[in-house]
Amino acid sequence: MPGLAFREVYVRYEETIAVGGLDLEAIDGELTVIVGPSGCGKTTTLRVAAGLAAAESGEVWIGDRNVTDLTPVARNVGMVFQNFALFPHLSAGDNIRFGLAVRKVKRSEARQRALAAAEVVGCQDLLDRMPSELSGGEQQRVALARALVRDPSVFLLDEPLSNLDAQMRVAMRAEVKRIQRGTDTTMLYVTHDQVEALTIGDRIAVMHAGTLQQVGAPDDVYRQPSNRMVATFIGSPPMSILSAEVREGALHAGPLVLPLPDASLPDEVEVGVRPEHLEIGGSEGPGGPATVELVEPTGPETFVRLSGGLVVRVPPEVRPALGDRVSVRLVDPGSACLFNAKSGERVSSHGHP
Amino acid sequence: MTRRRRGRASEGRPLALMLLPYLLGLWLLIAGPALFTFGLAFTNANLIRPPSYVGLANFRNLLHDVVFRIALSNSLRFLAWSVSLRVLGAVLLALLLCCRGRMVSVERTSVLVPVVLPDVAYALVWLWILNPLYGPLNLVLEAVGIHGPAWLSQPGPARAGVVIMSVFLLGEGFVIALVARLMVPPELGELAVVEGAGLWQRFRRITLPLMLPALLLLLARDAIFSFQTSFVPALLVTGGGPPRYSTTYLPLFLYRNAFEYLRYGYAAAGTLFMISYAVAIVWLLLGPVAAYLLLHRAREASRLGGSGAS
Repeated sequence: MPGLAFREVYVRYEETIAVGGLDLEAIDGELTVIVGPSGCGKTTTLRVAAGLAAAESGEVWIGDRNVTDLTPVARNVGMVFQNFALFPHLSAGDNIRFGLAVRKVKRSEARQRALAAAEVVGCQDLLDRMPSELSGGEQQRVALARALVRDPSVFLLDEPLSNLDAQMRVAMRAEVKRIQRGTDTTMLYVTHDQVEALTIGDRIAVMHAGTLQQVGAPDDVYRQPSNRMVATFIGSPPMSILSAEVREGALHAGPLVLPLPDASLPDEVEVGVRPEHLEIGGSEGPGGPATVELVEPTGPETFVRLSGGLVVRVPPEVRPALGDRVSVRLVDPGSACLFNAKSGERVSSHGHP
Repeated sequence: MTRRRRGRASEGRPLALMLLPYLLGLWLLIAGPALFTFGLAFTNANLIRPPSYVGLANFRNLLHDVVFRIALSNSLRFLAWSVSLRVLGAVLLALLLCCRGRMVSVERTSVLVPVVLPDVAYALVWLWILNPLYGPLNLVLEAVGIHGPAWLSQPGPARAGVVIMSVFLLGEGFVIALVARLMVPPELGELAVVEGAGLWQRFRRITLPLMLPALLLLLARDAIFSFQTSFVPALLVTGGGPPRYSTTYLPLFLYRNAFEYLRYGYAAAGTLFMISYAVAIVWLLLGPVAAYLLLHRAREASRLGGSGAS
């Protein structure tokens, strides 16, 4: 199956730049997730890939075909919308067969192919029902089967799970991943939910304000964010960012003290640390002093928010009280990220200059 | 439970009070006169003699009245032309003007303008437009090399003129069609594009079926109103002529009988005829749809019941 590539794609809506010079490749047979806050241009990117929106400049390639000037039909893509966009007057089966009917595929063949696609997504028992008789998850399965049935070159999914309730979303997340693996298709998947992006993506592309911030495997993006925006957008709760200063041959950031890195530092430095890289102890323990401002138990772990904006992950049996004086320190100083406070770019991962 | 019921009862009274002016109007102006008309149809009421019961004589006379037959056939022909052109025009305009654009709101408004003109003004404008010597319509036709007819003095062109006048009053139907078109979610169209449907396929498979319920209602409404929409132009523009009775439609025939010849009983009987025609036409239009829906529901119910048992 061919991959999908954007080359220098530029989209503008009147005065605002929706996508500014995007270079991105969704590799053949992989699930690539574009993630970013709303208004970052991710849906526009997807619409450009489908041919529903035109790029002002730049090219879109599917495999070795330049499809920039092709109509949506000629691009042969499958699409799934956030609200499923099932045709309300057609049964689930007719919805799946729509693309085949339009192409005048023989009825018996269309039936067979629709059943095969329905079996892949697990909705073969729903084919006679009308969309209004289906639950959200079932509607989404039908929408997926409709995208699958024509054997498109590329799948485009626009926030496909956002209209589902939380439990169904987690279940369908695994299903989408399973379907993608099983059919070995190239998927471009757009979401604003960074947890969804991390769990589902082979690679994730973080967008902000129309520009690509970082592309990489989920682990790499999580551990080595290329700038402050990515660092604070990916991960929940987000990475804590503290402004730091060099004093007495060490880097001081709030209660934390880090050894100076080998790389040269910009004038103003910020330190970013993830909750799981911090630990707290009694007020006399090693590390800097801080006060507990908020305790958020989530079940398997508890997040403790400290004065100065640090968030620490602690095991569930540790329950500090509000106002407790504690000491906080980095477990591994190498896990902290350093950012140029002015540009927001990462200077170097501490320890890996 | 009891408290809830009491709550509902106390809600009922203000509701009834608020409905009262409407119900009063409905009875005094519509239901009452309708019942009165029903009674009149069986009498020889006129302004000269005290009315007496004549049984079905009025209806028998109507069947033998040549003018009534002409008026009826004129009305049915008008209905066929006017309603199909009006609904078609409303749908086409709705499809054209459903997109967003700088001029679209101006264009939408101009479709509506003829509807808000007073009937008399509208009729006078058309008297001028259709004038064979200096009317703009014939001047335009002349410019493209067609010798326009003497619109209001030849039977065929006069009937066509009345139909044309009614077509430009499709504003309300246009609004209904436009809303029906705008209710079709844009993603459905986009998805159909991605699935490979062209313009015609999208219209036939998506837009039209989703607009259909509203369009059927529109069709029925226009069919009922077609008796009214033919009245003003016939009265004010053509005067029911040219001879013999080329544009005398049922409403004008009834109006003349009632208020010019003062044959109240006879006109009332004709009115009953007209109402039953309207009902019959609506049934002809909507009956098949209702039957289909009932059948569909029954099939659905049996299927759901069947799958529940298995």
